Amino acid sequence: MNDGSRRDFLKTCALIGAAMKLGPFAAQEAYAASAGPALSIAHYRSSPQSADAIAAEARKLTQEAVNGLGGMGRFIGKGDVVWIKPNIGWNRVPEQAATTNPDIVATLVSLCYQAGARRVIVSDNSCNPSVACFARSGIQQAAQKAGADCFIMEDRKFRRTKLNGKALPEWELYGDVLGVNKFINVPIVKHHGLCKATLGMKNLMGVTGGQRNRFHQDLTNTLVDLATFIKPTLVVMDAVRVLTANGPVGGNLADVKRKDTVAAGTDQVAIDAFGATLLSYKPQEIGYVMEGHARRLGTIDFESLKPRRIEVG
Amino acid sequence: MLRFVSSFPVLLLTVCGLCGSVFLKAQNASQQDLKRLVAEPLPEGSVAQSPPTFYSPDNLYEYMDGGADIFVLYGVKTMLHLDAKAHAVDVTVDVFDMGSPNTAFGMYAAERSPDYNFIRMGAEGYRNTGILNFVQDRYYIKLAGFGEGADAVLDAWAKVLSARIGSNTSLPEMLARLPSGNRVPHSEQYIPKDPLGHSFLGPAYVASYAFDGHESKLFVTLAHSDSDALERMKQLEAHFAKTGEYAPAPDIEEGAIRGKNSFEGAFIAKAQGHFLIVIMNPTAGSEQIFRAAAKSLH
Repeated sequence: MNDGSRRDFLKTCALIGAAMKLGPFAAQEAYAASAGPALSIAHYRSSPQSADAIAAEARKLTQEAVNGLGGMGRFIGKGDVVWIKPNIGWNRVPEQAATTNPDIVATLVSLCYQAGARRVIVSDNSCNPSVACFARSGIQQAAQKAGADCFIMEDRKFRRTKLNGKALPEWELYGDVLGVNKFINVPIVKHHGLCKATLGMKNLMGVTGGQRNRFHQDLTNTLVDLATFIKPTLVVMDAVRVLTANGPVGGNLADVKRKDTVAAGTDQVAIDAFGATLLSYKPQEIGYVMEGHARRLGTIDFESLKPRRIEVG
Repeated sequence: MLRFVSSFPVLLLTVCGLCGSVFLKAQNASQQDLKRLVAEPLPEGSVAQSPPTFYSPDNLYEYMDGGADIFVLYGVKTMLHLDAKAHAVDVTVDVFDMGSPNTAFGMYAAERSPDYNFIRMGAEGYRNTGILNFVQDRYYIKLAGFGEGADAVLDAWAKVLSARIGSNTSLPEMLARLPSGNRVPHSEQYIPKDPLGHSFLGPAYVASYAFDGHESKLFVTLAHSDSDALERMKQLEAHFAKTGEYAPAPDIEEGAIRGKNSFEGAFIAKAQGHFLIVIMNPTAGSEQIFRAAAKSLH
């Protein structure tokens, strides 16, 4: 082994070690340490109106945002089992912007398979009745068409899990999520009546069970506890359509604004800080973003990461 | 004395039991009233996909997650959820029993925006593609439809529900007592607790007034009595004395004060009978609104 290859070998060992130490989802720090930017923001130059054109826009923005980080191959390798976690919480159609854009989800499924994934699973613990949410959101159909397993979570599979968090010493998490080795969080940016904004960390509530209303007693710490434990491999944020009022449920198209943006990143706090600005909030106004920064989960100063900005279309 | 001490736990349990039973009785009555609204026959030949589901403040989060908190804040008593199918249209019917017309209006108003497409339905409503929401009496009704022809089906549902709720199709009476000149249409709100973060300001009716691009907000706090209104005025004065400044403003109205601080801005205020009238962010034009409110609420 020459010096160069030894260095590469040691670096690889260090990254694998970091990943193993930091949790089941291979730890974004390991990726952040490797070459490539930590945040990529793809924006469409126009706002097409037809359903087909919006679908094409969502696909293109997703590809470009992930490419901006160096491509899916930076995160997903041969044989990986990937959990993609969109927001499928509500019995709403994509136009109502309460759930993640299905074309973003389908594109990520395809990119994972192209990168060598053995299996891709798409699921969420819906708030409204799951059967209606999965169908109405368009995500089940789109994900399955792209080759993913998309199924409704079963109550019996939630497992009491030690989180060692400030607000959550332990909680019920979906057992199957803990069994995969890669996790991609795919939130949609939207207003939230209680915590102002639903962003990436908030979307992680969808892998929890139990009496989730208790989270609202200390939502800030709860969300950061979850984010600290789960540490997604990658976050891809849907801001093609943004629900600007009456979230998280929404329903009125008058509350939906086009932002024509998809962001991808490895820093959960930074990408949420960016998402907050799309709702005209300062990142400091979002409690869990502040707390995530304070706990050094990531940086609230997303501009300091020198995000790669990509204009598309 | 010893006998009292030994029987105290029994007494406490009896009182708790009675309170619990009164609460359950009220909840059952609310459920029965809601059930009556979605009794057969359903509009447009709709077929219920399952019996209606009921939620209380304790478990509304199971249906609405974080969206439940604001309904609980506004005092929701019971919510009915029904999924129905009318030919190719899936209909979702959510009826919230908010306990009173004031709180029903407050919750409805908290979710509306002045630029919505308003319709005459119940006391007031609005619609957009696939949704129709309205308020009537103590109920806030939210209808959603999916599929071709959904909007016509929602219309039919709204009419039937409105007719079954019955006669009270007026907005709360207090809204008519707020000055109408320069009022931004559909900007009125009812805030049951802590308007602007101050417990002494709640509950309050709120409305926006526009003057050449400048917007002021009128708060009418409903105190329990004249002396309670004066007490709340003192609390307002104390707050601004601590955080900024205030002074008498007889030039605006007898008994009025004006003041400001760095984070809430400027205000004018006056206790009038059992009301506390406050205008935040006032201009010369809004002083006229202040006087009109004082006169109307006299």
